[in-house]
Amino acid sequence: MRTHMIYSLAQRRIALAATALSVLSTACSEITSLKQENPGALSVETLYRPANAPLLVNGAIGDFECAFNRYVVGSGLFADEVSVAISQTVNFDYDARRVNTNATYGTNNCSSPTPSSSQQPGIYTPLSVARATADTAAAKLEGWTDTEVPKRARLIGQAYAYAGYSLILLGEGMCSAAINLGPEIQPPLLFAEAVTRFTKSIASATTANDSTTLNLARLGRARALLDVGGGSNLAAAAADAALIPATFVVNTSPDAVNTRRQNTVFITISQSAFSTVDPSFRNVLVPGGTTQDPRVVVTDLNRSGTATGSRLFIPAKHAAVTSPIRIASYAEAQLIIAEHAATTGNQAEAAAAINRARARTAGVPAYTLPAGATTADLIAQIIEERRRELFLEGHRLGDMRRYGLAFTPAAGTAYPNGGVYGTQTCFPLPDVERINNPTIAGGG
Amino acid sequence: MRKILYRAAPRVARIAASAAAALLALFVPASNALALPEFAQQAVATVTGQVTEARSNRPLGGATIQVDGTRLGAVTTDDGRFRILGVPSGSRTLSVRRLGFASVRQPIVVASAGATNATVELTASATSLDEVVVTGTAGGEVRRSIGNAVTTINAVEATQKSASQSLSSLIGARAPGVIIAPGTGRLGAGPSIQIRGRSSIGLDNSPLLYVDGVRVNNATTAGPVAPAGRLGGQASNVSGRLNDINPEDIESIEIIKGPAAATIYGTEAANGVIQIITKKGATTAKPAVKLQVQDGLIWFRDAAGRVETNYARNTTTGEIVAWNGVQEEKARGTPLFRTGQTRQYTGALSGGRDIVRYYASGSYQNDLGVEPNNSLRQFTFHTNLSVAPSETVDFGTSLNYVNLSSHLGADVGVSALLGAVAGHPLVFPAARGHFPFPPEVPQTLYDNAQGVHRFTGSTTLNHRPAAWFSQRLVAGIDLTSDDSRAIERFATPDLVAFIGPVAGAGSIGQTLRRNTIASADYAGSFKFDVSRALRSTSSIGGQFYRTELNSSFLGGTGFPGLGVETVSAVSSPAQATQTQIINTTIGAYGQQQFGWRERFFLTAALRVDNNSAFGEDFKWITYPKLSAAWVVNEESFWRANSYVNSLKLRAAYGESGRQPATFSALRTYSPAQGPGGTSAITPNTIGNPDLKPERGKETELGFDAQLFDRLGLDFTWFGKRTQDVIISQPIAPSSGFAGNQFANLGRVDNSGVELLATLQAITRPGFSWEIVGNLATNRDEIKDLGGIGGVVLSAGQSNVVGRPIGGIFTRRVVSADRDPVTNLPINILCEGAAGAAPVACATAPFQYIGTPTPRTTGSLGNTFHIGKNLRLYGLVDFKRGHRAVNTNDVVRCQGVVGANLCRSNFYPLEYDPVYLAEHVGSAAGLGITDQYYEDGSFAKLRELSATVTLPTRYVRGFSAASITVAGRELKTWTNFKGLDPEGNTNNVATSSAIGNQGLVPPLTRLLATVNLSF
Repeated sequence: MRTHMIYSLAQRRIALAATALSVLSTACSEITSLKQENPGALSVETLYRPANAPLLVNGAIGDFECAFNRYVVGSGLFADEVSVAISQTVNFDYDARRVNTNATYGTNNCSSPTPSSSQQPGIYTPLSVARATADTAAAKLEGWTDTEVPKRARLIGQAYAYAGYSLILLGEGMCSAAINLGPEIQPPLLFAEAVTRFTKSIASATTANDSTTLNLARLGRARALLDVGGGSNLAAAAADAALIPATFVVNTSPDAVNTRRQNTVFITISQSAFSTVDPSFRNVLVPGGTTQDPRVVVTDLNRSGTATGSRLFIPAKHAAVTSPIRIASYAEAQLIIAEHAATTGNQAEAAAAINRARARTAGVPAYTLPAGATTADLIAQIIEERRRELFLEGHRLGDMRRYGLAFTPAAGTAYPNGGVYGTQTCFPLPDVERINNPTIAGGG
Repeated sequence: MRKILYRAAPRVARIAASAAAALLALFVPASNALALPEFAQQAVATVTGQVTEARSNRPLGGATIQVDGTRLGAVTTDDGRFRILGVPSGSRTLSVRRLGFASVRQPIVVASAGATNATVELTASATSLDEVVVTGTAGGEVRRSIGNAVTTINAVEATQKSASQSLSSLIGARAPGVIIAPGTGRLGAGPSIQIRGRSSIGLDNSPLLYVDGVRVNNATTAGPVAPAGRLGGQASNVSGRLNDINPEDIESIEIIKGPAAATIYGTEAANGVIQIITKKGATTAKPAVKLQVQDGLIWFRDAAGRVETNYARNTTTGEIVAWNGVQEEKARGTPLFRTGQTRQYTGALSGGRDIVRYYASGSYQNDLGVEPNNSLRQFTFHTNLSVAPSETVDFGTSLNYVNLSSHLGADVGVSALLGAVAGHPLVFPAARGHFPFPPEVPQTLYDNAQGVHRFTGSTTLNHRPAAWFSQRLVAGIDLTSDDSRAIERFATPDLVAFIGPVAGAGSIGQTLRRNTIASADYAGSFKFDVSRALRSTSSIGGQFYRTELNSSFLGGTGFPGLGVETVSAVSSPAQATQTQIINTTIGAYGQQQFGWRERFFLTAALRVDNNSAFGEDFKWITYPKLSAAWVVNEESFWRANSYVNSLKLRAAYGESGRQPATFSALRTYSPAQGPGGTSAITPNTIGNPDLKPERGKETELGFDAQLFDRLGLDFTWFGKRTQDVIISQPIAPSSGFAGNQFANLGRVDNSGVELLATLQAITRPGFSWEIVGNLATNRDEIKDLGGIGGVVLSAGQSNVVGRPIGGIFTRRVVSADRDPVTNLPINILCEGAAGAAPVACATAPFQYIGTPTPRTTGSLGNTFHIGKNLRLYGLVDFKRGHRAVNTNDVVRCQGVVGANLCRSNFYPLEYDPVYLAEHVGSAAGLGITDQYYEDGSFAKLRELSATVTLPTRYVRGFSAASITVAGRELKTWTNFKGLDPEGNTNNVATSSAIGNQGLVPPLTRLLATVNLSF
């Protein structure tokens, strides 16, 4: 009896031990995989599938619109559209055209910091990321079939178009840039890359019968060709621009809450008091009139920024966090046509094109070609038309570089907040690319 | 279809629970349960007595007395007395232990009836070699066998002396090499801890924290976050979780400092481990009740003297006008800072009979800070229940609950303090001179509040089925839930006038966090004697830790009216975010120790770990350890040297790790919004599938000695090499990703010495003087950064090979002349490249000028016992060899607020041209910041107290009573010109960056504490 009890106890312990080990082993196999997942994000494994094609293209457009918002403010601060309103020395460098190559124009991205929390909008990183997501989306779509992806051609057209616009802004704003960890390339090559993408976009949008993307790509290619310059390119640009219908416009898609989609001009001026409209744009009168030009209406917010002597003015067209920003428009196309006409001696067509652009905005009188006007006069008029028509839409810095306009105040002039204005006319390739791109760092 | 983690979690939990249940069954054989006390049938009697310090006869409270061979025992009250009921008659032995004293085993003969009196004398000993310390193995280890340094803090004594109200103040300055960085003086702000300096560049340098064997939340950054663009919540993410633990509930704290000691704690332990052992009950004649009432004052010491006077020129009269914002507000009758108060009520009940021991306590603290929007209210409840149903089994539970409500006030950029620091009425006339608005704006409108519920529970099961085998299972959970709100209240019209209608409409940012840490830890230990002289101890163990942080952010701007402060009321909602972070560690170790005649010990261990944050292509990691301890004074050849009471030599080598940040190995894309609000994605992290933990390799050499019966020395030299340091390497944006990629590229070396000395300087009846001092040095040097980061492009802090982490670089002016007309500096030249002539500052290289990490730290504490009833105590601590930035002066002298405000800006003739060149004008813009990175060395009179133990004849009904008057942060000696050299906007555990703009410094406290026991 006693032996039996001992045996039973031992047996029971063995059984318990076996159970414990078995359960533990099952538990361990469950636990030791230690697969790390982020429920707040998508992984590479799950993302690149045909079913996600719309997600990829929407992402590309979203990245561009976010980058575009940042670029409008950052390039406007660097050019002459916006000036500093906050007393921060780092912010002065944007305004005084003396940015260090390790400054935040190179490193700030779109999502973080938000425009509310950073006075210096990112330029290079948001545009580079937008270019890459659009290119990646296009490449993935090219590798899938129409069966796998409904409306594939339409999506390809959109992806290439937004890749092209990112490249245009990189070329207009940056002194140089890189693509896909490649070598440092100059703006003409960036514009050429943009033209290539717009051409692909036009082909796909034509196949898809997607008129919006088709016109966006045509106008994009026209702008890129204008940037490249030269008679034939200008003619080709005008040809593309001539196909743009009068009702065409593509805007950003703003949102009141989503910080990537909020109007950055509004945030930076009205909400955060980081910047204000530059005095040169504060009282631009309608040609021949005494009231503000409807294209450049600015409102006095009756508030000051922390920078000495600053006062906050906001453009009427960016008066709300949900105000859209124009990316491309018929008026821009007409000014390209006008420029081509002016340089080829067709002054009447140039004036007509200017007026077709002006007619898009109520309250702007028609332009009358002055007697004896020269080509230079017309070009100056077109520059002024572009300054007003495309105010704070991401064109001004590119125009100043392309036309060789003087940056004022001149380099070396005392900057009101300390130091002097710098000599820069474009954002230099930032350290973040130069140091970490193996091709460039390796001398490529 | 892929599983997702939150679904897998319950399954894992179920399996783990089943396994635990099965193991529990193994632990508790039914035949052993609830065995009766072995002496139940014998004659019993009562043993009473007193424990005193051997030389001075000073009564010693908190000593543990155990009757050998029984479960009977007691803990002495503050007057050193004890009483044990039911002791079997005959010859018995009392084992008496107390931290800081050599243990004593004293034989007594217990009479068969009545009471037997026993007086036990203990001799002070800084390092009692027979003390058991927690090492991670089952049952702990006696100190004599451990080859590495372990610092033990007697929390009971330290709390009594210092009136510490927080764990951080309890640890601070008491353990060599352990730095507590308070950061800000705001109530509710948690400090950060750093042990042996910095060794990680991109990861948290905080040590692991355990309470009664379970890992607990050691977050040093938590708190309210404001919606984007709102300033009221600035720098409020400072509510560390360290101070949730009530110091009154702590028995002792053990600190191990690096990989040499922490190997068997595995990945995550390379920064050291802090073990908190809470108070437990003891078998006593009757329940012991302790009551404590604490009341005191909190104030900003000499605010008017420490806040610099500002200057501005009246453009009409040309007069230079001086202004001190603190003085002006005081004169106006609206002082910037008030005198705050602190009140704490604590009650504890403890005791035990037969097989059960218990301890339960509750405390309520209600503090008001020096600004009306800064306060703290905390309720804590703690219980420990221990049951020993048989000689072979005991188990205990430890439960701790905290309910905290704090209002952090406003700091840094929006503080009332910054308003005075950077203001002047000629510059900001509409705001009474304050920048950018008068103090009533932040103090009325900005409320950064945090509500915390925290529960920590653990069960420990000890099983000793045979003399040669013991095992232990600890399982527990630490659950922290907080609701943090950064509120800018709707402003009344008088305040709208200062901030405008948009800001005046208010805002809220609400962060909801739930942080759960689940721990399971099994350890088994096999002991057997290989021969009469050689003992073998083999240990095995396995641990499982799972940390889960869920957080959500809601918020928005624009309340409809006064008094409305909810998210649902805002007119413009902010973008909501949600984060879930899960990190899992599983590991096991094996350790073999050989002990030769209880004098020489050799220990080898191997730890293996996996962690979910490792990259896909990296799996298990192993960490080895080897240590030796030699109690040399017990060797026969040593006995002649009677002045050496004990001497243990020790040496240890060990490795440990630090896992990458949770998602840093993953390439991910974030959900985003596309055009028209459509679903979209955007690149998030580029990831690194090869990412592995940082590996710390450390060697320790040292000794523990007791000399002349009165001097205890604990000396350690350490050298640590941290390899595979995770570097956050920027990504070239043309790759399509923004931000950084984490890669194991770096190496950091640390070395230093640590000395803890305890001297019983005078021990006479009626008077004793004890001196406790510690000194620690630390040097950290970056040895490798994977070929990046070697070029300093701007003034400030950079990580550069050959320099410390966060090294400070600036252009340094070497010569300047004075302009005879303006008196301002001209012909300014800065230090050129090494060996080159001085150059124009705009092109000068940036020179290394110092480290933000103190190179030398230490403290000196003196305790005097006068007569039987009076104790005087003081503690001075110091930090040296580092630099602190005077950000307030950067703001004042560099025109950051639109005007220069420093005296040097207006009275240049009073200053050397070189100083002026570095301090005024556009110096900071040129990268000349040498003068602002000042010597951060300081010494502080950190604690001062007097305790009177009331004779029992005056406190009838109580077994003991005492009154303590204590002061904290009473005096600072420093050359630093800013408000306080310890003020730091940044968390030193997570960032080497320093800054202190508008930061309220650590505050002074005066406390009166009444302790009653009955």
